[in-house]
Amino acid sequence: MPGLRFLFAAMAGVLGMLLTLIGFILVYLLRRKRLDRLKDKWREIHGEVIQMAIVWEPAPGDSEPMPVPVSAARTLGSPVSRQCMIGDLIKGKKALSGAAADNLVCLYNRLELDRDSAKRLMSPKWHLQAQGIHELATMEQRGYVTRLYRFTNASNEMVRKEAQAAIVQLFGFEGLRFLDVIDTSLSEWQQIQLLQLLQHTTGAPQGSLQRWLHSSNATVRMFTLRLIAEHHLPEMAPHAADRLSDSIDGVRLQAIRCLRDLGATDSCGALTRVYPEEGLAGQLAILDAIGHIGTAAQLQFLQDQLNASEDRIKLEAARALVRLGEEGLICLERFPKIDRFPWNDVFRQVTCEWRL
Amino acid sequence: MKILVAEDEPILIRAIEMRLKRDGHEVWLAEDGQQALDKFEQEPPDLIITDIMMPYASGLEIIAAVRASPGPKVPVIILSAMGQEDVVLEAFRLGADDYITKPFSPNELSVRVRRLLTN
Repeated sequence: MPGLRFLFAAMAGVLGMLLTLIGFILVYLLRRKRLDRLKDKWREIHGEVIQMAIVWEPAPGDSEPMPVPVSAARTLGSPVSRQCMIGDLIKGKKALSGAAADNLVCLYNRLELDRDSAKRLMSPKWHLQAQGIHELATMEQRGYVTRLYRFTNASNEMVRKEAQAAIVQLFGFEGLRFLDVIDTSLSEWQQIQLLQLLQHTTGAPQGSLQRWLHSSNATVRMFTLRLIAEHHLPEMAPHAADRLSDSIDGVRLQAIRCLRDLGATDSCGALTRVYPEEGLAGQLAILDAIGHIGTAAQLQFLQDQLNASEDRIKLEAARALVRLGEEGLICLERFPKIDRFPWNDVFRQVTCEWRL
Repeated sequence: MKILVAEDEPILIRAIEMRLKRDGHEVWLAEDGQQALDKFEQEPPDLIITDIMMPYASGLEIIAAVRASPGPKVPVIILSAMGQEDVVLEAFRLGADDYITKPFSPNELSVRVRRLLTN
């Protein structure tokens, strides 16, 4: 019967597809298992080579380069093996410092593994590009600066971040020159990461900082203000104060924090001048800043803010007064409405915080 | 001297082993916290080098166990990743003698080991 024939044909088709699928899976698993066995074997050989490199020291007066065992070179015929080796070298380099780390870089160069990492830069896949950038940066391949630099303004965010971090890791402040040209945003996270990479670097280029403060990219302006605060550059305070009139809220906020962190007492006048034009967040930040860097000259201004309609302003102004020391505390205590709600609550709150 | 090294990263543990063996020490390896505790219970070493973050038992648990056990005091050096300040402080509170942050130089570790064993 035609119906039954059709049913049998359909079942045979489905069975055939299932068997084919199972076949593919089995072949894949077998190949995978074989590859894993090979990787384990390579890792063992690579491990010995890497260990020897880690502990190698030249004999006194000996200028011979670090020897590379023949066994290592022999296993590096396959790209997968080379990638395994690169992975192990990267792990070692990240965990070690000093002569051991230098030896690993030397091994990476002697085995010409930089070519594999550089090849990844040409891949159309973004994750391979990012991987290549990461490898070259970790293994201190400064010779690839031109190629790495091109990625600092890449359209893919991950590639861009990796390249920016790589350039800064390799070249410190000099590496930040990509800030002159990037037209993409620097995310908060990226800014924090770059600041961390520059933590132990000195020699911030003042000319560049001034230029970046006038960048058309708001996130570059914000990052520069963070950099100035992080590296305690009080000579940049007047330039940071110029950003108090920036059109972007986030930049102005960052400028206020920067002046606070720099301890720029001279900026209090500028802060009180822009205060009326700021929104709530800006005003709170200014009050906080004045609490940290203000002097007796700001006492009247702070006392005036106790009359603000917004309770958060009252609280922040009271905090600032207390932070300014005994004079501020007296000023607060003598405020005519201090015994009335909500000023009595505010007073209780800030004096409690101060005692803690 | 017998040194127990507890570290779950294979490359690192081998690097430390080779460096310490070169200095003439006998090195016992533990790839996780529980292995380290078991080896310590079998026979206390002369010094312990331990990572903080490890499977089954952390470096802090190892320090606590070492300090709680009777017998002569065994010096402990901890290996910590950067940014683990709270953990390092806790390790000192528990009785660690020294710490070294990653990335570290095996040569520096060697000097610290020598200093502790001499003292």
